[in-house]
Amino acid sequence: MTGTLDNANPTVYEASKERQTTPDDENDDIVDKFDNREVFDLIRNINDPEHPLTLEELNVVENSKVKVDDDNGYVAIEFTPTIPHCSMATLIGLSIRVKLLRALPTRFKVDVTITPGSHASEEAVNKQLADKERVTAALENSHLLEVWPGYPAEVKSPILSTGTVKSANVVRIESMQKGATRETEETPKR
Amino acid sequence: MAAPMWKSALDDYVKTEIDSMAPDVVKLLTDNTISLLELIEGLGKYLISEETSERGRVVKLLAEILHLIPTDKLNATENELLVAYLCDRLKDHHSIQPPSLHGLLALCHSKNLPEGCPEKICRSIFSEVQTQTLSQGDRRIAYNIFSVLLTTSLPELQKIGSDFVLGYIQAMDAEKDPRNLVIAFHCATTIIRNFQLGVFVEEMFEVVSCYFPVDFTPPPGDPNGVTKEDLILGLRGCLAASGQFGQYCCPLLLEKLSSDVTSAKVDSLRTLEAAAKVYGSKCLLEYRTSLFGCIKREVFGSGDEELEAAALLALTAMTTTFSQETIITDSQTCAEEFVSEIWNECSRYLGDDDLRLMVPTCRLLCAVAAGSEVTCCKVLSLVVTRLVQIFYSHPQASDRKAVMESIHSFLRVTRQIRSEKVKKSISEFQNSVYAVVMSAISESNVQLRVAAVQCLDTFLQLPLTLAVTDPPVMAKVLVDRAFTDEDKDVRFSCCSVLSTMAKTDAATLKSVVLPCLLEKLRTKPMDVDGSDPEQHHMVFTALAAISVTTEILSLVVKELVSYLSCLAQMSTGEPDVQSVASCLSVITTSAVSRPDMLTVLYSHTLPELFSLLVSMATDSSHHNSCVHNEDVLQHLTTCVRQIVVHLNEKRLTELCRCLTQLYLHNETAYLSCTPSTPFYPLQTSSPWQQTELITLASPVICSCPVEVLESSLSDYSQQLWSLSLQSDHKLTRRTAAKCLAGLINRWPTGESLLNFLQSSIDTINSVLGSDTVEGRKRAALNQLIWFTKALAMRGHSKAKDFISMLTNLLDDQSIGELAATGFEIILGDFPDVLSKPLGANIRIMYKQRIFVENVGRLKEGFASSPPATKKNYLICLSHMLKILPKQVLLSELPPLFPLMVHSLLCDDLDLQLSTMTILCDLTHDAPDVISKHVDTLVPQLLQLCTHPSSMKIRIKALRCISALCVLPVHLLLPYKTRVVRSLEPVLDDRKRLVRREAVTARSEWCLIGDPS
Repeated sequence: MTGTLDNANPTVYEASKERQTTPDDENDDIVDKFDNREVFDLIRNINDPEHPLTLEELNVVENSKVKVDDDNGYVAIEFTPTIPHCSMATLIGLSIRVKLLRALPTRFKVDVTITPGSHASEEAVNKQLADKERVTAALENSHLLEVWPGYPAEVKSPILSTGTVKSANVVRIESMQKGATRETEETPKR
Repeated sequence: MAAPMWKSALDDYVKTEIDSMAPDVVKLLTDNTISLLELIEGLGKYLISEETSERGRVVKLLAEILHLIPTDKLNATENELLVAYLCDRLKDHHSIQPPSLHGLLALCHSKNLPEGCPEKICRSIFSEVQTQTLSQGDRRIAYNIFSVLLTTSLPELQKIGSDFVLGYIQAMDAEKDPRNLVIAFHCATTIIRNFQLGVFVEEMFEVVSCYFPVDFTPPPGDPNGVTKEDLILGLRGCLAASGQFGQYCCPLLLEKLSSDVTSAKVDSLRTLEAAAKVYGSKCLLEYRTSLFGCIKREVFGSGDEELEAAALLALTAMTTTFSQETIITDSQTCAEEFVSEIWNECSRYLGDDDLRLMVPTCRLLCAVAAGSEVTCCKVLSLVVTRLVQIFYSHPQASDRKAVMESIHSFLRVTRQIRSEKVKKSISEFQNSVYAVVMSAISESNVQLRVAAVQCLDTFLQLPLTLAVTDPPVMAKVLVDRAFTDEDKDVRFSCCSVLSTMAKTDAATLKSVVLPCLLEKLRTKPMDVDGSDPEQHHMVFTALAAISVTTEILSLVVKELVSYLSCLAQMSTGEPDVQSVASCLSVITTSAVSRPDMLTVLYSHTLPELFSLLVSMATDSSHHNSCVHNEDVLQHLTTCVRQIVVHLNEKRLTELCRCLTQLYLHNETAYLSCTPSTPFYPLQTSSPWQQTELITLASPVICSCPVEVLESSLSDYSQQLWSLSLQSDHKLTRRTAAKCLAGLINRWPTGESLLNFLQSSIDTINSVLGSDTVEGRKRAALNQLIWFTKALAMRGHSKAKDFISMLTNLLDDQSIGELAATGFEIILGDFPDVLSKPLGANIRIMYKQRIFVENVGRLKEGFASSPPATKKNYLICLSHMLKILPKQVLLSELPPLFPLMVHSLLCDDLDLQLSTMTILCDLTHDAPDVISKHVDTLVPQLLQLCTHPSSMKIRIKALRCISALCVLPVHLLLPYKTRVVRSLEPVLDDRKRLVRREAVTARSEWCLIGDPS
């Protein structure tokens, strides 16, 4: 990540509400199947690599583009980069993959692809996302880990550089310890 | 110490380094054994000593003595003399300056300090002391002297004029210690406010402003307690103390605002906010364009909420300042000119094509509008119509929602400024806003509808002059939305608008809304095809919402009670009965705090409720009525309790007399109708429909003053006692036991109570010891538990006996478990009985006391009990742990922890659940205790994650596992692979809620030990 952003001022979308718990959900005898919303809930809170916003708020992932087939153990996800030449597309795709790898039972086969027509180098990115070795490598990548929700915002957005005050500030307030050492250097007046 | 002795002690003091003499001398001085003159004479030879160190020592002693004597001990002459002497000592050797200053500080506190002394002290310090060469503590004394004198003798110091200002500037210059700065800033503020700074304005500004913006981080565990905030506020006080600083301060603020450091920007903006009024419009005018530029930049682009809020408040403060300027240039006031300038810059963002900057622009304009009446009117006239246009020209829901929220924010600002002028400008835009809001309410997007309804709520709180036809139409739309809208938020927001309407426009509410609601109340949900029972339920929410004025409250409650009596005729299967009862309790709960509403409820509603219930209970043809339902009674009891809690003593006594007549003596004067058969709710032979009505009276009986009950106390207690043991009706037994506990808790200490308790213990013991049916045993045990609670709460001496009776029962195979759960009752809080509002006699920390007194016995009991009943001890302990405050738990926990691990292994769902709840909390609060048991906990919790029958257990276990992640990494790493692998099958649990917890727990464990 360099100092410049691909898309500095993105449109922010409303996040959907938390899923309501139904009485059926609390009945231990009923089997809840995996559905689109459940898998969507797993990935919607992933943070964007560039902004302190979630993928859902940027409309990168949408509930309607998550398809789950519980019986056959198949999940297909399409995501839409905010702009067609987004350099982060692969990173976002890998984040989704890694998240699902940890959060879904192994019986599911997961496909993560770019929404057709939404990215300049769509095919190349899709190919990378389907590459098993790349995904395994991503699991070891500490940079990707930082994209997880639950990490403090500072870590997630190193782009917010902190400068210093450019001023003619003459006197700075000392810390207490310095104040204490100063006392020993007293010079007598007379 | 005898009088002559002190002189020899003095020699020791001067010659050695022992500092313990001053208090002894002070004692001699205060009891007049020696006089001040004698003391000084005694000190004399050292005061004029050739040795600097001796002079220093003796001045130090003098200063210490001066600090210790009472502030009124010295008279004016003595003070003057000492001041002159000590001031003279400032000229002495540099090592004598600090003790002299110390002595002078003591004299400054003296009550009889004569005129002239403060001036002399200050002048001497200015001329003789170079503060920069002193140590931190001595500099602090100097600032303290100024601080005290500025408080006590300000007028005298003012006479010194610019000499004082200059002196202080030199004294404070280059101070670096945060502790001293706090005092120095305080003095500076007083000086700037009260002295003519004259030629020293700029110097004074320089000497304080060089600290701006404050950059200070206290060292960890700082004992001095000076925070960055203290310094910031102190400095801000200085900068905002004089209007003359404006010319220097504004450029400084602008410079800091252009930096990249957020805290500097926030500080600058807050300083601007605080100082704007003091600097005045003349100064701000010069810088307004650049200041506004900075503010705009922060609001448009920072994305930092704190910064943005500070910027907006600064803008508001600036606007307010401009509005106070009355001079008119070019036919515009200063404030109007400012608004126009801002509008010229901002109006392009409110154009037609791109709405991205509309929201921040509206925030800016809102801040300007909040500045004053004038700017509010001006901004409203410019913005509102434009926003309405934008609304109509942008069909997209998200845009429209943004517009609606912006309009809402302007309405909120307008609501805060109430004046004729604003009223006039409201009348200019109200119709267009009304139209736009009403059209938005019928849009298809949910969020837009919510925004519109909330906007309408604020709109109605403005002083409106709508056309006569509008309110009824609006009311109809709202009622319609409240019932038919598919979204819950919209429905509830509509109800709160109706509540606002009840306050602002009672006429429309009564003529339109109320009839409409009442009609819906009487329409059964099943009568209308396809209507949702939940929507029918809205009628109760709406009725509760509009009961905010006394008039409407009495109308609504009357209707509800009459509807209730109508429903009571039916037998069972009426879901509405419960809704009506709960609605009544909601209304009562929110109304009782208003005296006029309380009167209505007390004098009308209560008798009506009692009449209805008693007549139902006494008429045997209505014994199947749907009001004889536990939940209904519960809600109605809540009504009674809420009213009782808020009654004054006179009314409460009256009510208690009436009910005693009714319940004990079948005197029905309180009721509006005479029951067909006698009403004896306290007799065991009465039908349960009558006896269960004790629950309604118990809040009154348990909370009324004990003197009033005196005569009937024994009647009540005897009858309740037999009911609680012998009645066949469960609810009756339970409420009788509770009510009796309430009485015992407040029964005056003495013979009668002891006798009653003794006979009760005997009866209970005989019942528990006999071979009667288990049902009777349980009733007796329940009564025992409530007795114990009542006595333990008031700290009665008998409580111990009762508790040990209970703990002995834990070994009982049949009722041991019930006895164990009894501790939940004893330690728990119940709103309906023995609570603080009901006037219960509660000794502080009674829960902790019970725990501390019994924990040892329980542990022993656990060790010695047979396997079958070990569980009861664990249950008992887990109830105690659940209820105890955390601080108590933490100290008691380590020895109990093995028992908790035992509880996890037990095959009792409730016990496992409550243990895991405690465990989960404790992992955060006492990680070190948990760390020692990780090796037993992890396998056990992992096993519970796959519990076959209870999802609650699985969820709790997963939460505990996820909580474990707060422990030190090196403890967890050995388990990481195992946990991650074991949780994999749980990801495929049949319940979604379990899967969710599993995902959280597994993700967290996956990250343990990762480099980031």
